[in-house]
Amino acid sequence: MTSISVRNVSYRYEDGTLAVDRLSFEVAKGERVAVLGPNGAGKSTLFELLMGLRFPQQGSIHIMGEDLHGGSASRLRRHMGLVFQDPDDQIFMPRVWDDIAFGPINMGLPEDVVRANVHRTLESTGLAGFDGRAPHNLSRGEKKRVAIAGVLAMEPDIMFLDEPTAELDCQGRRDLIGVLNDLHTTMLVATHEVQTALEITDRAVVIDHSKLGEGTYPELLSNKDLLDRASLDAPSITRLFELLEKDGISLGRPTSVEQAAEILRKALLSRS
Amino acid sequence: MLHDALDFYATRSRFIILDPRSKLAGLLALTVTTALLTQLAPMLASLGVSVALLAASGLPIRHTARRLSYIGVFAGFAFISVLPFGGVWRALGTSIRVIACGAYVLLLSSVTPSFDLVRALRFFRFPPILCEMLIFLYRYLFLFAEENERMAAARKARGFRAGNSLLDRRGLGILASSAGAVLYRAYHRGMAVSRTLAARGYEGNVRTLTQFRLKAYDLAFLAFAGATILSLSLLQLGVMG
Repeated sequence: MTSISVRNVSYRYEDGTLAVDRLSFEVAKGERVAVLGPNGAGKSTLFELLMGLRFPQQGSIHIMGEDLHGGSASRLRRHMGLVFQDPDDQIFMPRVWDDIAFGPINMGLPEDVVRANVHRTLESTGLAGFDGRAPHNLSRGEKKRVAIAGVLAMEPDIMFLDEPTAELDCQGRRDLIGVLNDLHTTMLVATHEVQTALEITDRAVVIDHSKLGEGTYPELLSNKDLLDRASLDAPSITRLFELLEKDGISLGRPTSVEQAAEILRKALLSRS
Repeated sequence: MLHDALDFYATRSRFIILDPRSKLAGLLALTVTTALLTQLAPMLASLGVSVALLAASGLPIRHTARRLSYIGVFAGFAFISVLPFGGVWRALGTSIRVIACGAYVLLLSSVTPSFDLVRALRFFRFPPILCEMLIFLYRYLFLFAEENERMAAARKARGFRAGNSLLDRRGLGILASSAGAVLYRAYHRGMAVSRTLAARGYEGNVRTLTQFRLKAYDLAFLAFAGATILSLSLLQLGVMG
């Protein structure tokens, strides 16, 4: 079943800037897809279009089979959650608990369901014990987790994450990726970091206003021209094996250190 | 931080047990009555009541004193404004009324969580657009403060010092353009915040988990407010005292 269908969508800002240009792609239910592209490629605008916070001037968006427009946006937003790039934009309430409860309360859920959702979300995002804290005193990574928890508590069928690991330190990044990989919703992740996309999603749509390419990571990473056009860098470990390939040592294109270790182990064992 | 203080004490105040509607009705009635007083004796009595209520609320003395000092600035301004035309006693009376009214409003805003207060305002048919403006003001106050803090730090980090002299035209020019930039940034941040609110299901109706229910405490508080208003009115009319 198709969760998201984007057909020939274009969006131009009032000042004339073309943010999204004739973009088309589909995401199946339960799929995890990255929207890869450089800064200013239109990723955040695309997510706002998908959430019904803006409406395309051309083309159409279908969410779970239903056309997304002014009349249906409010209803469809109940099935979707967007984690914004800057958690300070999203965090509104004076306490972590209240902020996470903000969405479920707006959905009109009964009090016991709200409390259960918030409790479960605090646990699943590693924020147990943070409920009484003021969000504005938290670290960047903790704020990100509060922002994600605020969306998860609404139990969305589809989650959009805009640059989820931006500005996080290594530990914050690892924790966050762990939280995201434990989720079982349809997920679209906007990022300019191929490594992050690889760790969270199964395939990617590469955009720079319009679509440049689409596919699984082995397909995308072998397309040097596409990566260059989108100003994207392959992960360091993949680049290392590319360099070896240029020297005639063709061992494949691993996308993670674990894969690379396995390839090297096999190669060394076969040699000995 | 300002953000922590705003709702932080509300849930810890002794008046949290009161229904937000009774707090709003009682304290606003006291504020309006005080604003209409013209005699010094009932003004002083109202000031005494407002200070007594602040003390009874259990709000920290430092928090209360700091906010009362802001009101004191306005009271001082009122005193200076009225003095040349109305004389010392009228100027003093105006200042006392400003402090007493400010203290009631301070009490109301300090002992009622912001969203509950807005919901109570809606209960009394306060226009929705004004309620929405209050909610956004609540969030945007911090935006302004935070943007201003960031820009001040950025200026300082690059060696900027100003405020030594009103004749420092370059310094004043930089401060003026910084103020413009703060407004511009706060506007953009504000737009982003409004989109995040819409994304989380906010459609203009304020919802909280607080159940509005009038209890014996509320009736006692409303009776106290009514009795105080009656006493102040009798004092004003010269029937009492």
